[in-house]
Amino acid sequence: MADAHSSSRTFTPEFYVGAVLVVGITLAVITTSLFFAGSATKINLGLRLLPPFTNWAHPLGTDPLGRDVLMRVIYAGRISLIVGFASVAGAVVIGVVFGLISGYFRGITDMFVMRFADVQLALPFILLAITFVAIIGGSLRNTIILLIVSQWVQFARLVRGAVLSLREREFIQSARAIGVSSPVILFRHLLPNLVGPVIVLSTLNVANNILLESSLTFVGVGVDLTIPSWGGMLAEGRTYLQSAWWVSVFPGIAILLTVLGLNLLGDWLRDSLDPTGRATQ
Amino acid sequence: MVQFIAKRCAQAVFVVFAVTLIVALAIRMTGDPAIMLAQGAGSVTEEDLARIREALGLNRPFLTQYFEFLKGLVTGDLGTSFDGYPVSQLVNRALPATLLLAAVSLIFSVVVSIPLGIKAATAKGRWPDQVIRIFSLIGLSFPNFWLGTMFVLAFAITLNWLPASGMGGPSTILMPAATMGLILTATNVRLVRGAMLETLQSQYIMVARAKGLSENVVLYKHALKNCAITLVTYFGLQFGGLLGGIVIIERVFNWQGMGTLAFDAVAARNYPVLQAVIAILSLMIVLVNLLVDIAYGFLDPRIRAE
Repeated sequence: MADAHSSSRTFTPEFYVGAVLVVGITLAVITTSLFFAGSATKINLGLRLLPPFTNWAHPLGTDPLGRDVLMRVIYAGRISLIVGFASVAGAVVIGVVFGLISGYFRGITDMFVMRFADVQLALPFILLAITFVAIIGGSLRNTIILLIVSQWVQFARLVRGAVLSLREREFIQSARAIGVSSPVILFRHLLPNLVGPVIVLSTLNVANNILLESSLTFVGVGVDLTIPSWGGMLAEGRTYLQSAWWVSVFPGIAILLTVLGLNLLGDWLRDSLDPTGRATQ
Repeated sequence: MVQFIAKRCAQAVFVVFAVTLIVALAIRMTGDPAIMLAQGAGSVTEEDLARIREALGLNRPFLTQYFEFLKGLVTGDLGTSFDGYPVSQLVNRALPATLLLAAVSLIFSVVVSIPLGIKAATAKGRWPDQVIRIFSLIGLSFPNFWLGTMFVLAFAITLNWLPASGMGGPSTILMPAATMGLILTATNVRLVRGAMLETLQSQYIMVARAKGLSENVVLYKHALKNCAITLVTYFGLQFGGLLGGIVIIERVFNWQGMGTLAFDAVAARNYPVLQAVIAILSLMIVLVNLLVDIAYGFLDPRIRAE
Protein backbone atom coordinates (compact mmCIF):
# COMPACT_ATOMS: atom_id res chain seq x y z
CA MET A 1 0.00 0.00 0.00
CA ALA A 2 2.89 2.33 0.71
CA ASP A 3 4.03 2.30 -2.92
CA ALA A 4 0.54 3.14 -4.17
CA HIS A 5 0.73 6.32 -2.13
CA SER A 6 3.55 7.89 -4.02
CA SER A 7 2.96 6.60 -7.54
CA SER A 8 -0.42 7.80 -8.70
CA ARG A 9 -1.57 10.73 -6.61
CA THR A 10 -2.60 13.45 -9.01
CA PHE A 11 -5.30 16.05 -8.93
CA THR A 12 -7.83 15.13 -11.60
CA PRO A 13 -10.93 17.07 -12.74
CA GLU A 14 -13.08 14.82 -10.56
CA PHE A 15 -11.08 15.95 -7.55
CA TYR A 16 -11.62 19.64 -8.35
CA VAL A 17 -15.34 19.30 -9.06
CA GLY A 18 -15.86 17.10 -5.99
CA ALA A 19 -13.85 19.40 -3.71
CA VAL A 20 -15.60 22.56 -4.93
CA LEU A 21 -19.03 20.96 -4.40
CA VAL A 22 -18.30 19.53 -0.96
CA VAL A 23 -16.38 22.53 0.40
CA GLY A 24 -18.79 25.05 -1.13
CA ILE A 25 -21.91 23.33 0.18
CA THR A 26 -20.39 22.77 3.63
CA LEU A 27 -19.36 26.43 3.95
CA ALA A 28 -22.76 27.66 2.75
CA VAL A 29 -24.55 25.38 5.22
CA ILE A 30 -22.35 26.41 8.15
CA THR A 31 -22.64 30.14 7.39
CA THR A 32 -26.41 29.96 7.02
CA SER A 33 -26.85 27.90 10.18
CA LEU A 34 -24.75 30.37 12.18
CA PHE A 35 -25.99 33.70 10.87
CA PHE A 36 -29.15 33.35 8.78
CA ALA A 37 -31.16 30.59 10.48
CA GLY A 38 -33.97 33.12 11.04
CA SER A 39 -34.59 33.80 7.37
CA ALA A 40 -34.73 30.08 6.60
CA THR A 41 -37.57 29.47 9.02
CA LYS A 42 -39.45 32.79 8.84
CA ILE A 43 -43.07 32.25 7.86
CA ASN A 44 -44.68 34.86 5.61
CA LEU A 45 -48.18 33.81 4.63
CA GLY A 46 -48.54 36.89 2.41
CA LEU A 47 -45.91 35.45 0.07
CA ARG A 48 -47.08 31.83 -0.19
CA LEU A 49 -45.87 29.68 -3.11
CA LEU A 50 -44.05 32.45 -4.93
CA PRO A 51 -42.55 30.98 -8.16
CA PRO A 52 -38.77 31.05 -8.55
CA PHE A 53 -36.85 33.65 -10.58
CA THR A 54 -39.62 36.23 -10.19
CA ASN A 55 -38.66 38.06 -7.02
CA TRP A 56 -35.05 38.86 -6.20
CA ALA A 57 -35.70 38.73 -2.49
CA HIS A 58 -36.67 35.05 -2.99
CA PRO A 59 -34.68 33.84 -6.02
CA LEU A 60 -35.90 30.22 -5.74
CA GLY A 61 -39.42 31.17 -4.69
CA THR A 62 -41.25 30.42 -1.46
CA ASP A 63 -42.93 27.33 0.01
CA PRO A 64 -46.56 26.82 1.12
CA LEU A 65 -45.87 28.80 4.30
CA GLY A 66 -44.12 31.63 2.47
CA ARG A 67 -40.64 30.57 3.65
CA ASP A 68 -37.73 31.32 1.34
CA VAL A 69 -36.82 28.11 -0.55
CA LEU A 70 -33.17 29.02 -1.19
CA MET A 71 -32.39 29.81 2.45
CA ARG A 72 -34.35 26.82 3.63
CA VAL A 73 -32.57 24.43 1.26
CA ILE A 74 -29.16 25.64 2.43
CA TYR A 75 -30.16 25.59 6.08
CA ALA A 76 -31.65 22.07 5.77
CA GLY A 77 -28.28 20.79 4.57
CA ARG A 78 -27.27 20.90 8.23
CA ILE A 79 -29.22 17.71 8.94
CA SER A 80 -27.76 15.80 5.99
CA LEU A 81 -24.19 16.78 6.84
CA ILE A 82 -24.62 16.01 10.55
CA VAL A 83 -26.17 12.60 9.85
CA GLY A 84 -23.65 11.76 7.12
CA PHE A 85 -20.52 12.61 9.07
CA ALA A 86 -21.65 11.61 12.58
CA SER A 87 -22.90 8.19 11.48
CA VAL A 88 -19.72 7.39 9.57
CA ALA A 89 -17.50 8.64 12.43
CA GLY A 90 -19.31 6.30 14.82
CA ALA A 91 -19.18 3.37 12.41
CA VAL A 92 -15.46 3.91 11.76
CA VAL A 93 -14.52 3.93 15.45
CA ILE A 94 -16.47 0.78 16.29
CA GLY A 95 -15.68 -0.98 13.01
CA VAL A 96 -11.94 -0.32 13.09
CA VAL A 97 -11.55 -1.53 16.69
CA PHE A 98 -13.53 -4.71 16.06
CA GLY A 99 -11.85 -5.25 12.69
CA LEU A 100 -8.36 -4.97 14.21
CA ILE A 101 -9.15 -7.36 17.04
CA SER A 102 -11.03 -9.77 14.81
CA GLY A 103 -8.32 -9.91 12.12
CA TYR A 104 -5.37 -10.04 14.51
CA PHE A 105 -6.60 -12.38 17.23
CA ARG A 106 -9.29 -14.24 15.25
CA GLY A 107 -11.19 -16.39 17.76
CA ILE A 108 -14.54 -15.48 19.22
CA THR A 109 -14.52 -11.82 18.14
CA ASP A 110 -13.85 -12.87 14.59
CA MET A 111 -16.73 -15.30 14.63
CA PHE A 112 -19.01 -12.63 16.08
CA VAL A 113 -18.02 -10.06 13.45
CA MET A 114 -18.43 -12.43 10.53
CA ARG A 115 -21.80 -13.75 11.67
CA PHE A 116 -22.97 -10.19 12.29
CA ALA A 117 -21.88 -9.40 8.76
CA ASP A 118 -24.05 -12.24 7.43
CA VAL A 119 -27.06 -10.91 9.31
CA GLN A 120 -26.40 -7.38 8.15
CA LEU A 121 -26.27 -8.53 4.52
CA ALA A 122 -29.67 -10.17 4.88
CA LEU A 123 -31.39 -7.23 6.57
CA PRO A 124 -31.30 -4.14 4.37
CA PHE A 125 -30.96 -0.90 6.27
CA ILE A 126 -34.34 0.42 5.18
CA LEU A 127 -36.12 -2.61 6.64
CA LEU A 128 -34.13 -2.39 9.86
CA ALA A 129 -34.97 1.31 10.10
CA ILE A 130 -38.69 0.72 9.56
CA THR A 131 -38.76 -1.89 12.31
CA PHE A 132 -36.95 0.22 14.85
CA VAL A 133 -38.72 3.46 14.06
CA ALA A 134 -42.01 1.68 14.61
CA ILE A 135 -40.82 1.05 18.14
CA ILE A 136 -38.51 3.81 19.28
CA GLY A 137 -39.76 6.54 16.97
CA GLY A 138 -37.90 8.51 14.33
CA SER A 139 -35.49 11.26 15.31
CA LEU A 140 -32.15 12.70 14.31
CA ARG A 141 -30.38 10.76 17.06
CA ASN A 142 -32.12 7.47 16.29
CA THR A 143 -31.34 7.79 12.59
CA ILE A 144 -27.65 8.25 13.36
CA ILE A 145 -27.63 5.31 15.80
CA LEU A 146 -29.36 3.05 13.28
CA LEU A 147 -26.86 3.95 10.58
CA ILE A 148 -23.96 3.20 12.93
CA VAL A 149 -25.48 -0.12 14.00
CA SER A 150 -26.01 -1.22 10.43
CA GLN A 151 -22.69 -0.02 9.01
CA TRP A 152 -19.90 -0.54 11.51
CA VAL A 153 -19.57 -4.08 10.26
CA GLN A 154 -18.59 -2.87 6.77
CA PHE A 155 -15.57 -1.17 8.30
CA ALA A 156 -14.88 -4.16 10.52
CA ARG A 157 -14.84 -6.45 7.47
CA LEU A 158 -12.60 -4.12 5.49
CA VAL A 159 -10.09 -3.77 8.34
CA ARG A 160 -10.25 -7.47 9.18
CA GLY A 161 -9.43 -8.42 5.62
CA ALA A 162 -6.48 -6.04 5.47
CA VAL A 163 -5.16 -7.17 8.86
CA LEU A 164 -5.37 -10.83 7.87
CA SER A 165 -2.84 -10.24 5.11
CA LEU A 166 -0.75 -7.64 6.94
CA ARG A 167 -0.18 -9.79 10.01
CA GLU A 168 1.85 -12.23 7.92
CA ARG A 169 4.15 -9.50 6.63
CA GLU A 170 7.72 -9.15 7.90
CA PHE A 171 7.32 -5.88 9.75
CA ILE A 172 4.53 -7.27 11.90
CA GLN A 173 6.24 -10.64 12.36
CA SER A 174 9.44 -8.95 13.49
CA ALA A 175 7.60 -6.55 15.79
CA ARG A 176 6.02 -9.57 17.41
CA ALA A 177 9.34 -11.42 17.54
CA ILE A 178 11.06 -8.63 19.46
CA GLY A 179 8.21 -8.63 21.97
CA VAL A 180 6.18 -5.56 21.04
CA SER A 181 2.88 -5.71 22.90
CA SER A 182 -0.30 -6.45 20.96
CA PRO A 183 -2.02 -3.07 21.50
CA VAL A 184 1.10 -1.32 20.17
CA ILE A 185 1.19 -3.59 17.12
CA LEU A 186 -2.50 -3.00 16.47
CA PHE A 187 -2.58 0.76 16.84
CA ARG A 188 0.97 1.84 15.97
CA HIS A 189 1.92 -0.64 13.27
CA LEU A 190 -1.27 -1.96 11.69
CA LEU A 191 -3.60 1.03 11.96
CA PRO A 192 -1.50 3.49 9.90
CA ASN A 193 -1.54 1.00 7.02
CA LEU A 194 -5.32 0.95 6.99
CA VAL A 195 -5.93 4.69 6.83
CA GLY A 196 -6.22 4.79 3.02
CA PRO A 197 -8.95 2.19 2.48
CA VAL A 198 -10.87 3.36 5.57
CA ILE A 199 -10.94 6.95 4.28
CA VAL A 200 -12.16 5.80 0.88
CA LEU A 201 -14.97 3.72 2.35
CA SER A 202 -15.83 6.55 4.76
CA THR A 203 -16.22 9.11 1.99
CA LEU A 204 -18.46 6.82 -0.05
CA ASN A 205 -20.49 5.96 3.06
CA VAL A 206 -21.06 9.60 3.98
CA ALA A 207 -22.55 10.00 0.50
CA ASN A 208 -24.63 6.86 0.86
CA ASN A 209 -25.86 7.77 4.34
CA ILE A 210 -27.02 11.18 3.17
CA LEU A 211 -29.12 9.36 0.55
CA LEU A 212 -30.45 6.89 3.12
CA GLU A 213 -31.33 9.58 5.66
CA SER A 214 -33.23 11.62 3.06
CA SER A 215 -35.13 8.50 1.92
CA LEU A 216 -36.11 7.64 5.47
CA THR A 217 -37.17 11.19 6.28
CA PHE A 218 -39.11 11.34 3.01
CA VAL A 219 -41.19 8.28 3.90
CA GLY A 220 -41.67 9.52 7.44
CA VAL A 221 -39.42 7.16 9.41
CA GLY A 222 -36.33 9.39 9.68
CA VAL A 223 -35.74 12.86 11.05
CA ASP A 224 -38.69 14.75 12.56
CA LEU A 225 -40.58 16.64 9.85
CA THR A 226 -40.69 19.83 11.93
CA ILE A 227 -36.91 20.19 11.53
CA PRO A 228 -35.92 21.51 8.07
CA SER A 229 -34.20 18.69 6.16
CA TRP A 230 -33.96 17.82 2.47
CA GLY A 231 -35.98 14.63 2.77
CA GLY A 232 -38.56 16.46 4.86
CA MET A 233 -38.86 19.33 2.37
CA LEU A 234 -39.39 16.82 -0.44
CA ALA A 235 -42.07 15.08 1.60
CA GLU A 236 -43.86 18.42 2.12
CA GLY A 237 -43.45 19.32 -1.53
CA ARG A 238 -45.25 16.20 -2.75
CA THR A 239 -48.64 17.66 -1.88
CA TYR A 240 -47.88 20.70 -4.01
CA LEU A 241 -46.28 18.92 -6.97
CA GLN A 242 -49.14 19.92 -9.28
CA SER A 243 -49.08 23.62 -8.45
CA ALA A 244 -45.57 24.37 -7.14
CA TRP A 245 -42.85 22.22 -8.72
CA TRP A 246 -40.01 24.28 -7.26
CA VAL A 247 -40.71 23.10 -3.70
CA SER A 248 -39.91 19.54 -4.84
CA VAL A 249 -37.10 20.32 -7.27
CA PHE A 250 -34.51 22.37 -5.37
CA PRO A 251 -34.04 20.18 -2.25
CA GLY A 252 -33.49 17.23 -4.60
CA ILE A 253 -30.84 19.11 -6.55
CA ALA A 254 -29.15 19.91 -3.23
CA ILE A 255 -29.00 16.22 -2.29
CA LEU A 256 -27.77 15.28 -5.76
CA LEU A 257 -24.95 17.84 -5.77
CA THR A 258 -23.80 17.01 -2.24
CA VAL A 259 -23.77 13.26 -2.82
CA LEU A 260 -22.18 13.68 -6.25
CA GLY A 261 -19.40 15.80 -4.75
CA LEU A 262 -18.69 13.15 -2.11
CA ASN A 263 -18.80 10.32 -4.66
CA LEU A 264 -16.37 12.19 -6.93
CA LEU A 265 -13.97 12.68 -4.01
CA GLY A 266 -14.43 9.07 -2.95
CA ASP A 267 -13.66 7.80 -6.45
CA TRP A 268 -10.64 10.03 -6.72
CA LEU A 269 -9.37 8.91 -3.32
CA ARG A 270 -9.83 5.27 -4.24
CA ASP A 271 -7.95 5.66 -7.48
CA SER A 272 -5.08 7.43 -5.79
CA LEU A 273 -4.86 5.56 -2.46
CA ASP A 274 -6.13 2.12 -3.31
CA PRO A 275 -5.66 1.28 -6.99
CA THR A 276 -6.81 -2.30 -6.47
CA GLY A 277 -10.28 -1.09 -5.52
CA ARG A 278 -10.30 -3.25 -2.43
CA ALA A 279 -12.10 -0.67 -0.30
CA THR A 280 -15.29 -0.89 -2.27
CA GLN A 281 -15.65 -4.65 -2.31
CA MET B 1 -19.08 -29.69 -2.72
CA VAL B 2 -21.51 -31.30 -0.27
CA GLN B 3 -19.52 -29.85 2.59
CA PHE B 4 -19.57 -26.43 0.97
CA ILE B 5 -23.35 -26.51 0.49
CA ALA B 6 -23.88 -27.77 4.03
CA LYS B 7 -21.76 -24.95 5.41
CA ARG B 8 -23.58 -22.28 3.45
CA CYS B 9 -26.97 -23.73 4.41
CA ALA B 10 -25.99 -23.77 8.08
CA GLN B 11 -24.97 -20.13 7.76
CA ALA B 12 -28.26 -19.26 6.10
CA VAL B 13 -30.27 -21.00 8.80
CA PHE B 14 -28.33 -19.09 11.46
CA VAL B 15 -29.02 -15.81 9.69
CA VAL B 16 -32.73 -16.57 9.40
CA PHE B 17 -32.90 -17.30 13.14
CA ALA B 18 -30.95 -14.17 13.97
CA VAL B 19 -33.00 -11.89 11.74
CA THR B 20 -36.38 -13.18 12.85
CA LEU B 21 -35.27 -13.09 16.48
CA ILE B 22 -34.07 -9.49 16.14
CA VAL B 23 -37.36 -8.47 14.56
CA ALA B 24 -39.47 -10.35 17.12
CA LEU B 25 -37.47 -8.96 20.04
CA ALA B 26 -37.43 -5.43 18.67
CA ILE B 27 -41.15 -5.41 18.23
CA ARG B 28 -41.66 -6.40 21.86
CA MET B 29 -38.84 -4.23 23.17
CA THR B 30 -40.77 -1.21 24.36
CA GLY B 31 -43.05 -3.22 26.55
CA ASP B 32 -46.66 -4.04 25.93
CA PRO B 33 -47.95 -3.76 22.35
CA ALA B 34 -51.45 -4.02 23.79
CA ILE B 35 -51.05 -0.64 25.54
CA MET B 36 -49.63 0.92 22.37
CA LEU B 37 -52.48 -0.49 20.39
CA ALA B 38 -55.04 0.78 22.83
CA GLN B 39 -53.56 4.28 22.77
CA GLY B 40 -55.95 6.75 21.28
CA ALA B 41 -58.89 4.44 21.82
CA GLY B 42 -60.13 6.58 24.69
CA SER B 43 -60.65 4.94 28.06
CA VAL B 44 -59.15 1.48 28.19
CA THR B 45 -59.85 -0.93 30.98
CA GLU B 46 -57.54 -3.64 32.21
CA GLU B 47 -60.03 -6.11 30.74
CA ASP B 48 -59.66 -4.58 27.28
CA LEU B 49 -55.89 -4.96 27.53
CA ALA B 50 -56.23 -8.54 28.66
CA ARG B 51 -58.51 -9.25 25.74
CA ILE B 52 -56.06 -7.73 23.29
CA ARG B 53 -53.19 -9.73 24.78
CA GLU B 54 -55.27 -12.89 24.61
CA ALA B 55 -56.21 -12.23 21.01
CA LEU B 56 -52.60 -11.57 20.01
CA GLY B 57 -51.21 -14.39 22.04
CA LEU B 58 -49.10 -11.88 23.95
CA ASN B 59 -49.89 -13.54 27.26
CA ARG B 60 -47.82 -16.57 26.33
CA PRO B 61 -44.05 -16.77 26.94
CA PHE B 62 -41.87 -15.00 24.37
CA LEU B 63 -40.19 -18.15 23.09
CA THR B 64 -43.56 -19.82 22.51
CA GLN B 65 -44.67 -16.78 20.51
CA TYR B 66 -41.41 -16.75 18.59
CA PHE B 67 -41.59 -20.40 17.60
CA GLU B 68 -45.25 -20.01 16.78
CA PHE B 69 -44.21 -17.23 14.39
CA LEU B 70 -41.44 -19.35 12.85
CA LYS B 71 -43.90 -22.19 12.37
CA GLY B 72 -46.25 -19.71 10.73
CA LEU B 73 -43.51 -18.67 8.30
CA VAL B 74 -43.13 -22.27 7.20
CA THR B 75 -46.81 -23.23 7.10
CA GLY B 76 -47.98 -19.91 5.68
CA ASP B 77 -50.30 -19.13 8.58
CA LEU B 78 -49.02 -15.75 9.74
CA GLY B 79 -51.75 -14.93 12.21
CA THR B 80 -54.19 -12.06 12.20
CA SER B 81 -53.46 -8.37 11.82
CA PHE B 82 -54.62 -5.96 14.49
CA ASP B 83 -57.44 -4.82 12.26
CA GLY B 84 -58.67 -8.34 11.75
CA TYR B 85 -57.28 -9.53 8.41
CA PRO B 86 -55.28 -12.73 8.01
CA VAL B 87 -51.68 -11.53 7.55
CA SER B 88 -51.00 -14.19 4.93
CA GLN B 89 -53.80 -12.75 2.81
CA LEU B 90 -52.28 -9.25 2.98
CA VAL B 91 -48.86 -10.65 2.10
CA ASN B 92 -50.28 -12.72 -0.75
CA ARG B 93 -51.62 -9.55 -2.29
CA ALA B 94 -48.55 -7.37 -1.70
CA LEU B 95 -45.68 -9.75 -2.40
CA PRO B 96 -46.42 -10.38 -6.11
CA ALA B 97 -46.65 -6.61 -6.68
CA THR B 98 -43.22 -6.07 -5.13
CA LEU B 99 -41.67 -9.02 -6.98
CA LEU B 100 -43.13 -7.85 -10.27
CA LEU B 101 -41.65 -4.40 -9.78
CA ALA B 102 -38.31 -5.93 -8.75
CA ALA B 103 -38.23 -8.23 -11.78
CA VAL B 104 -39.12 -5.51 -14.30
CA SER B 105 -36.58 -3.10 -12.78
CA LEU B 106 -33.87 -5.75 -12.83
CA ILE B 107 -34.61 -6.74 -16.45
CA PHE B 108 -34.65 -3.07 -17.47
CA SER B 109 -31.32 -2.52 -15.78
CA VAL B 110 -29.67 -5.65 -17.24
CA VAL B 111 -30.84 -4.81 -20.75
CA VAL B 112 -29.50 -1.26 -20.49
CA SER B 113 -26.31 -1.84 -18.54
CA ILE B 114 -24.85 -4.75 -20.53
CA PRO B 115 -24.44 -2.89 -23.84
CA LEU B 116 -23.37 0.29 -22.05
CA GLY B 117 -20.86 -1.58 -19.87
CA ILE B 118 -19.43 -3.40 -22.88
CA LYS B 119 -19.16 -0.13 -24.78
CA ALA B 120 -17.36 1.47 -21.85
CA ALA B 121 -14.96 -1.47 -21.55
CA THR B 122 -14.07 -1.56 -25.24
CA ALA B 123 -13.61 2.22 -25.35
CA LYS B 124 -11.66 2.29 -22.09
CA GLY B 125 -10.32 5.78 -21.42
CA ARG B 126 -11.83 7.31 -24.53
CA TRP B 127 -14.88 9.55 -24.65
CA PRO B 128 -17.71 6.92 -24.64
CA ASP B 129 -16.15 5.44 -21.50
CA GLN B 130 -15.89 8.86 -19.87
CA VAL B 131 -19.47 9.82 -20.72
CA ILE B 132 -20.83 6.52 -19.40
CA ARG B 133 -18.71 6.90 -16.28
CA ILE B 134 -20.03 10.40 -15.59
CA PHE B 135 -23.64 9.32 -16.06
CA SER B 136 -23.10 6.31 -13.83
CA LEU B 137 -21.64 8.54 -11.11
CA ILE B 138 -24.60 10.92 -11.36
CA GLY B 139 -26.96 7.94 -11.19
CA LEU B 140 -25.22 6.68 -8.05
CA SER B 141 -25.78 10.10 -6.48
CA PHE B 142 -29.48 10.33 -7.29
CA PRO B 143 -31.96 9.90 -4.44
CA ASN B 144 -34.25 7.21 -5.92
CA PHE B 145 -37.43 8.72 -4.47
CA TRP B 146 -36.57 12.12 -5.95
CA LEU B 147 -35.91 10.64 -9.38
CA GLY B 148 -39.38 9.08 -9.13
CA THR B 149 -40.89 12.41 -8.10
CA MET B 150 -39.23 14.13 -11.06
CA PHE B 151 -40.63 11.46 -13.41
CA VAL B 152 -44.09 12.17 -12.02
CA LEU B 153 -43.55 15.89 -12.53
CA ALA B 154 -42.35 15.40 -16.11
CA PHE B 155 -44.45 12.54 -17.50
CA ALA B 156 -47.63 12.68 -15.43
CA ILE B 157 -48.11 16.34 -14.54
CA THR B 158 -46.40 18.28 -17.33
CA LEU B 159 -46.79 15.95 -20.32
CA ASN B 160 -49.76 14.00 -19.00
CA TRP B 161 -48.59 10.79 -20.67
CA LEU B 162 -48.68 8.42 -17.72
CA PRO B 163 -50.71 8.02 -14.55
CA ALA B 164 -48.96 9.68 -11.59
CA SER B 165 -49.46 6.77 -9.21
CA GLY B 166 -51.46 3.70 -8.42
CA MET B 167 -51.33 0.14 -9.64
CA GLY B 168 -53.19 -1.12 -12.67
CA GLY B 169 -52.40 -1.75 -16.34
CA PRO B 170 -48.91 -1.82 -17.82
CA SER B 171 -48.68 1.99 -17.96
CA THR B 172 -48.55 2.21 -14.18
CA ILE B 173 -45.42 0.10 -13.83
CA LEU B 174 -43.38 2.13 -16.33
CA MET B 175 -42.32 4.97 -14.06
CA PRO B 176 -41.58 2.99 -10.87
CA ALA B 177 -39.67 0.34 -12.83
CA ALA B 178 -37.73 2.95 -14.82
CA THR B 179 -36.83 4.77 -11.60
CA MET B 180 -35.50 1.67 -9.88
CA GLY B 181 -34.01 0.34 -13.11
CA LEU B 182 -32.02 3.51 -13.77
CA ILE B 183 -30.69 3.62 -10.21
CA LEU B 184 -29.60 -0.03 -10.53
CA THR B 185 -28.09 0.64 -13.94
CA ALA B 186 -25.71 3.20 -12.46
CA THR B 187 -24.13 0.43 -10.37
CA ASN B 188 -24.47 -2.34 -12.93
CA VAL B 189 -22.72 -0.47 -15.74
CA ARG B 190 -19.63 -0.27 -13.55
CA LEU B 191 -19.84 -3.98 -12.72
CA VAL B 192 -20.27 -5.00 -16.37
CA ARG B 193 -17.40 -2.73 -17.41
CA GLY B 194 -15.11 -4.21 -14.75
CA ALA B 195 -16.00 -7.82 -15.56
CA MET B 196 -15.63 -7.19 -19.30
CA LEU B 197 -12.25 -5.52 -18.95
CA GLU B 198 -10.96 -8.56 -17.11
CA THR B 199 -12.37 -11.01 -19.64
CA LEU B 200 -11.17 -9.10 -22.69
CA GLN B 201 -7.59 -9.62 -21.55
CA SER B 202 -7.85 -13.39 -21.74
CA GLN B 203 -6.09 -15.29 -24.45
CA TYR B 204 -9.16 -16.96 -25.88
CA ILE B 205 -10.50 -13.52 -26.79
CA MET B 206 -7.29 -12.84 -28.67
CA VAL B 207 -7.69 -16.17 -30.44
CA ALA B 208 -11.31 -15.37 -31.34
CA ARG B 209 -10.23 -12.05 -32.77
CA ALA B 210 -7.30 -13.62 -34.61
CA LYS B 211 -9.70 -16.10 -36.21
CA GLY B 212 -11.36 -13.06 -37.76
CA LEU B 213 -14.66 -13.30 -35.90
CA SER B 214 -16.67 -10.11 -36.02
CA GLU B 215 -16.28 -7.86 -33.02
CA ASN B 216 -19.93 -8.29 -32.00
CA VAL B 217 -19.59 -12.07 -31.95
CA VAL B 218 -16.41 -11.78 -29.88
CA LEU B 219 -18.01 -9.40 -27.38
CA TYR B 220 -21.54 -10.68 -27.05
CA LYS B 221 -21.00 -14.38 -27.63
CA HIS B 222 -17.57 -15.22 -26.32
CA ALA B 223 -16.73 -12.54 -23.78
CA LEU B 224 -20.20 -11.98 -22.34
CA LYS B 225 -20.79 -15.69 -21.86
CA ASN B 226 -17.70 -15.91 -19.75
CA CYS B 227 -18.55 -12.86 -17.64
CA ALA B 228 -22.04 -14.17 -17.08
CA ILE B 229 -21.10 -16.06 -13.92
CA THR B 230 -19.60 -12.98 -12.32
CA LEU B 231 -22.48 -10.79 -13.40
CA VAL B 232 -25.19 -13.15 -12.16
CA THR B 233 -23.44 -13.20 -8.80
CA TYR B 234 -23.32 -9.42 -8.65
CA PHE B 235 -26.94 -9.07 -9.66
CA GLY B 236 -27.94 -11.71 -7.11
CA LEU B 237 -26.11 -9.97 -4.30
CA GLN B 238 -27.95 -6.76 -5.20
CA PHE B 239 -31.28 -8.33 -4.34
CA GLY B 240 -31.27 -6.93 -0.81
CA GLY B 241 -30.51 -3.42 -1.98
CA LEU B 242 -33.09 -3.76 -4.74
CA LEU B 243 -35.83 -4.66 -2.27
CA GLY B 244 -34.75 -1.85 0.05
CA GLY B 245 -35.00 0.62 -2.82
CA ILE B 246 -38.35 -0.69 -3.98
CA VAL B 247 -39.81 -0.29 -0.51
CA ILE B 248 -39.15 3.46 -0.84
CA ILE B 249 -40.20 3.72 -4.49
CA GLU B 250 -43.52 2.05 -3.70
CA ARG B 251 -44.27 4.96 -1.43
CA VAL B 252 -43.67 7.50 -4.21
CA PHE B 253 -45.96 5.76 -6.68
CA ASN B 254 -48.47 4.40 -4.20
CA TRP B 255 -47.59 0.90 -5.41
CA GLN B 256 -49.46 -1.63 -3.24
CA GLY B 257 -46.52 -3.87 -2.39
CA MET B 258 -44.62 -4.98 0.70
CA GLY B 259 -43.17 -1.51 1.31
CA THR B 260 -46.56 0.17 1.41
CA LEU B 261 -47.79 -2.66 3.62
CA ALA B 262 -44.84 -2.13 5.98
CA PHE B 263 -45.24 1.66 6.21
CA ASP B 264 -48.97 1.36 6.78
CA ALA B 265 -48.22 -1.20 9.49
CA VAL B 266 -45.75 1.21 11.12
CA ALA B 267 -48.30 4.02 11.06
CA ALA B 268 -51.00 1.82 12.60
CA ARG B 269 -48.57 0.01 14.90
CA ASN B 270 -49.81 -3.17 13.30
CA TYR B 271 -47.00 -5.37 14.59
CA PRO B 272 -48.06 -8.79 13.27
CA VAL B 273 -48.05 -7.38 9.73
CA LEU B 274 -44.74 -5.56 10.17
CA GLN B 275 -43.09 -8.63 11.66
CA ALA B 276 -44.29 -10.81 8.79
CA VAL B 277 -43.24 -8.33 6.08
CA ILE B 278 -39.72 -7.86 7.45
CA ALA B 279 -39.25 -11.57 8.08
CA ILE B 280 -40.44 -12.60 4.62
CA LEU B 281 -38.32 -10.01 2.79
CA SER B 282 -35.23 -10.98 4.80
CA LEU B 283 -35.93 -14.64 4.23
CA MET B 284 -36.07 -14.08 0.49
CA ILE B 285 -32.80 -12.17 0.54
CA VAL B 286 -31.09 -14.95 2.51
CA LEU B 287 -32.45 -17.51 0.06
CA VAL B 288 -31.31 -15.60 -3.03
CA ASN B 289 -27.85 -15.05 -1.54
CA LEU B 290 -27.63 -18.74 -0.67
CA LEU B 291 -28.63 -19.83 -4.17
CA VAL B 292 -26.15 -17.43 -5.75
CA ASP B 293 -23.41 -18.75 -3.46
CA ILE B 294 -24.16 -22.36 -4.26
CA ALA B 295 -24.49 -21.70 -7.98
CA TYR B 296 -21.19 -19.89 -7.92
CA GLY B 297 -19.59 -22.77 -6.04
CA PHE B 298 -20.79 -25.17 -8.74
CA LEU B 299 -19.50 -23.00 -11.56
CA ASP B 300 -16.21 -21.95 -10.05
CA PRO B 301 -14.41 -24.63 -8.00
CA ARG B 302 -12.00 -22.07 -6.55
CA ILE B 303 -14.78 -20.63 -4.36
CA ARG B 304 -15.43 -23.98 -2.71
CA ALA B 305 -11.87 -24.23 -1.50
CA GLU B 306 -12.07 -20.90 0.30
